[in-house]
Amino acid sequence: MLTSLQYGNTTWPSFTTFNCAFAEMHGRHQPAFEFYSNPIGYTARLQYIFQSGVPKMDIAFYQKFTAYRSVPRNYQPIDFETDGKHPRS
Amino acid sequence: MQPSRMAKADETQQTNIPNVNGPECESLGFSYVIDAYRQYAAPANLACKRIISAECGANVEEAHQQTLPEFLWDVKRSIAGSVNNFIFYGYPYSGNVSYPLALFVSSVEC
Repeated sequence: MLTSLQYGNTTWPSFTTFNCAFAEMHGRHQPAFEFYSNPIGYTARLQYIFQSGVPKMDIAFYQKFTAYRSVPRNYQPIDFETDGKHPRS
Repeated sequence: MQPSRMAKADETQQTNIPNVNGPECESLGFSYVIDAYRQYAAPANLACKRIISAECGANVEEAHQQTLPEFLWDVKRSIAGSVNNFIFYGYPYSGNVSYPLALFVSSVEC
């Protein structure tokens, strides 16, 4: 099957890395490229907001691990999430 | 810079994140778990790093299938986990070579 996956400067799909293992080849060959400015602008504005100010946390969990074999969900109960869904509680 | 590239969170994070100028994690290595981003951002926040970045968008086996809402989905999750800088994977800028393919990819930073 002939594709342009190994070659740049051609039509889509153009050059694709890692043997198509990972998304995404952002660039002018992507069909959605003319629409990228919206999500990228959104992300840029979010970055500006979240890089300003002083980070503050209400709750911290002290994790007494010295080696993490995985990235577990360390606090198992979902009571915080449930409370978050009821703003009046 | 990624102190523990694609590795599961391990003790190198606690010791190395404060030593790096700009700690960066990876959405792929962290399996999009918000607690994982928080766990990564904790030493960075304690060390008063203003910028905690993440490499976003590398979804496995989804080449040429990622939609723009999916593109933003992980941005939003990462912000909930205290990540505030995003590098989008990837931006291929060279074709016509057979090997090594991986060297000719960069990332786009907002």
